[in-house]
Amino acid sequence: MLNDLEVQRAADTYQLGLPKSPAAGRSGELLGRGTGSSLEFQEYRQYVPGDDIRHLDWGAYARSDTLMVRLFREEISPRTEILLDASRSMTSGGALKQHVARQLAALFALLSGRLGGRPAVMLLDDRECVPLGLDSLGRLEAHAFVGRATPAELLSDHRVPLKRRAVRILISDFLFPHDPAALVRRLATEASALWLVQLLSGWEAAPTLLGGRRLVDIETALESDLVLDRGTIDAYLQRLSALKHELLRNCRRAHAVFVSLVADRGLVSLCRDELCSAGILRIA
Amino acid sequence: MIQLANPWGLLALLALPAILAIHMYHRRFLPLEVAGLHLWTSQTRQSLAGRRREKLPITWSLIFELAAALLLAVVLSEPHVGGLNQAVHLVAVLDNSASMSAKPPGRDTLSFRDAAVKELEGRAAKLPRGSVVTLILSGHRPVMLAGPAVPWSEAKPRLDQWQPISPRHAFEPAWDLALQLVEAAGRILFISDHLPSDKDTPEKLECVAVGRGLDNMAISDARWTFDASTGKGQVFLRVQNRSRRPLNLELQGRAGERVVFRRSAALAEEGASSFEADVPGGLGKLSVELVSEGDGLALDNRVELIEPRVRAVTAAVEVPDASSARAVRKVLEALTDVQIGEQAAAHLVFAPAGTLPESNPRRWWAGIGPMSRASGDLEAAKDIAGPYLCDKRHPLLDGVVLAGVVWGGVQPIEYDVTPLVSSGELVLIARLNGTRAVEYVFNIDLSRSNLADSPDWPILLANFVELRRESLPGLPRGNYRLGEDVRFRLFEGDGDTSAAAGQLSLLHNGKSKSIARTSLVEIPAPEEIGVFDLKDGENLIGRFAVNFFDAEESDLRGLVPGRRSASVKTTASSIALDDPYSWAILALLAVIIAAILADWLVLKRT
Repeated sequence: MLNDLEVQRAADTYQLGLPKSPAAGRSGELLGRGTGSSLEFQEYRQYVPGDDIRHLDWGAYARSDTLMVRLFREEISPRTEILLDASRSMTSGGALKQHVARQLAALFALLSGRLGGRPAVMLLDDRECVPLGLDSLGRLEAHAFVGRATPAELLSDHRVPLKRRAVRILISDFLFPHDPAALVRRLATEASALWLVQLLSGWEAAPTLLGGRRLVDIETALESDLVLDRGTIDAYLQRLSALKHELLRNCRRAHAVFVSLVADRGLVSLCRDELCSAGILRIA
Repeated sequence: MIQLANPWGLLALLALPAILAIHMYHRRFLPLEVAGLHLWTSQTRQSLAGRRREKLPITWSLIFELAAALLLAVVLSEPHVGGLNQAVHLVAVLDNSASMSAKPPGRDTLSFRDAAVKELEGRAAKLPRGSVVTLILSGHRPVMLAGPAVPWSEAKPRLDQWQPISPRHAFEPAWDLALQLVEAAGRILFISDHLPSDKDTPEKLECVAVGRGLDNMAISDARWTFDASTGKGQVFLRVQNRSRRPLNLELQGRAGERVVFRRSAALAEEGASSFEADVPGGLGKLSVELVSEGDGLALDNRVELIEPRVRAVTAAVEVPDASSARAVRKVLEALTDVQIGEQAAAHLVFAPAGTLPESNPRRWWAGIGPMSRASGDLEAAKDIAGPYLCDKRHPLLDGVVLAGVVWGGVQPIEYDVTPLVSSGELVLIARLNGTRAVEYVFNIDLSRSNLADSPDWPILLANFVELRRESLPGLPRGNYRLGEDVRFRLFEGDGDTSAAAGQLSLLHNGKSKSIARTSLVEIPAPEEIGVFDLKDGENLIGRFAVNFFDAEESDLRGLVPGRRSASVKTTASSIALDDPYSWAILALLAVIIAAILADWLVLKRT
């Protein structure tokens, strides 16, 4: 997937729109919230034993006889956890949805890696969740989306090894029964940043009139006979809109970002428009 | 009450459970895998492995398909609701006798014929849609006026042209024809001016009588004779008063616009009177009209008469015996229009029976005995006093009784003959066989017999002469009764000398009818009255008149109106000729098509 042409082109065009002060991370290129060894001056404070004497401001000592230590912003390399919903629902609406999902995961990992971060792509399905680093992203393409467990279930069961102060990006369609508030709260806990990327197929975002159909839930196998007329579709769109609204509202509350994408628009369009608008990407 | 013409069509109802089964077990909605079914509906169910029985979905498609199948079964079974769709075959027998032309006095009254037409129109108006009618005219030979089994619209124009004119006849042939046509289903209606006897009518026959008793005065007979010797003619008329009161009458004979004679008289009730009028020769045609107050039937008030043509017969008497020749001559001289001439120009010859003549079809021959004049044969001849065995069917012996006749001088006949009068094994009068001519042998010796002195002798010779006269070319008579066949000889012998003249045709009232050209022409009894012309090519070769003379038909006193239903009800259900595409069936078909289209639209949407 790293060799995907669209992913490569997007990686060359954009960079992750990470927050100015990520919560934590190893020494890297991004400024951390705490003091560190970067060149960016932050403030003074009195010297306490143990401080790095290389940061003593001898000029201030000469002026005030007080040992003052110059504190600089620390530079970190943030951990980026890219949670990719690998359940069967990501295969609905054709192959495009899961393909774009893989592209997004790869793009985020690639961009994170270019920032010196430690991207970890975690495929959320019934199997044991093993984070994939940049060097093992090749497995991403071969991974079949056959899981029946939803991200909400996996998170509540603590089957996803989340790290503290990581930038978390969840790529999912969110088309599973869940409590948006609980899900966002769970994901935002101890995360330095949280991005929820909802990826829908074109038909899921704007269903067309198909007449009578037996709708079968691709994950739960529940079914229902419905006539997909204008009234039914309008009701569906209302519920979908309410779901988006709840996710968005809870994300705002948790200082997270929520963006809803339609896979049919393609990766290039999605990066240029929706992801840039949401601040997840910006022009490099 | 609903009747089904084709109950097998109800088998189409089997489609109903089939449709239900299809809707019950057939998954009509195509499966569509979606993510987030909970966003579509909260009413979900868990699908199990394998096909499972579900509650029958009541969909528009199911309703339309059931309706289409149900209506199709109805159409195929051809329902007939009550009488609306119960087509019948009405066979109407119309009394074609002349009395149906009678009309009660008064300006606004209907003739019996018009009343019959009105009755029939009323029946036709009440017939169910798709019904057919057959109209039969009674007569000696029943005539199908319209049909068989034609719509009323086709029969009505023919009915309008109907004019009853036939003389008295039996109705049974027409009824038999009607029974054959109506078969098991349908109705037979007989419309007449009187109700026939109950025991004579078929059980299926419904009778309607539209007549009523009327007074009538009729010319019951008319003749025109011509005396060639005086060149004058005489017209004989007989008039009958067929009413219950005395009536005055006036007779008028016209030749063109010229009134030839006029007679007035008063006839007592049920009285009759004869009228004679001398008319000059050369009139050709005479019209006689009877005028009487309150006359019911106009048909018998007028006759057309054709002046008779003289058809003289030339006879030659070659009998050597003087007494025998005298006996023959005496009779011939007494007969009208018979002249005695030479053998070469004679139409018939009386000659000795012992010598056979040459075979000449134009010359009839009567051989008068004795068969042999040899003395021995004369002595051996027998005299017979009877009894005599006569072939009464032969016209030569018409009126001959031979009572008290002594047949003398009978000798054996050695010719090949057909006996006409015989006594024991002795043949007395016979016709010669094996000859083209008409030749009779009278095995008699008039000198030894009293036959010439008996009344049978002139009768016998007169019959012989009249037979010859009738066989002469040309019309034997000029006036015929309605219903009487017209026969005449066109030519004598083997050759038709007038063959090059053209086609033989009969003309009447501007209509021409071809006639087969044979030696003996027979024209079936004309069905109309009036004057008929016979033409050979463009040449008029004869003219005759046909008049209505029927004393029974002229008697209108016994006519009474009435109705009698058929004693056996016919099963007038649907018939094969019924139009299956009535408006109701067409409407059902339209609904079926609409249901199918609606089902298609519903299925297309789903």
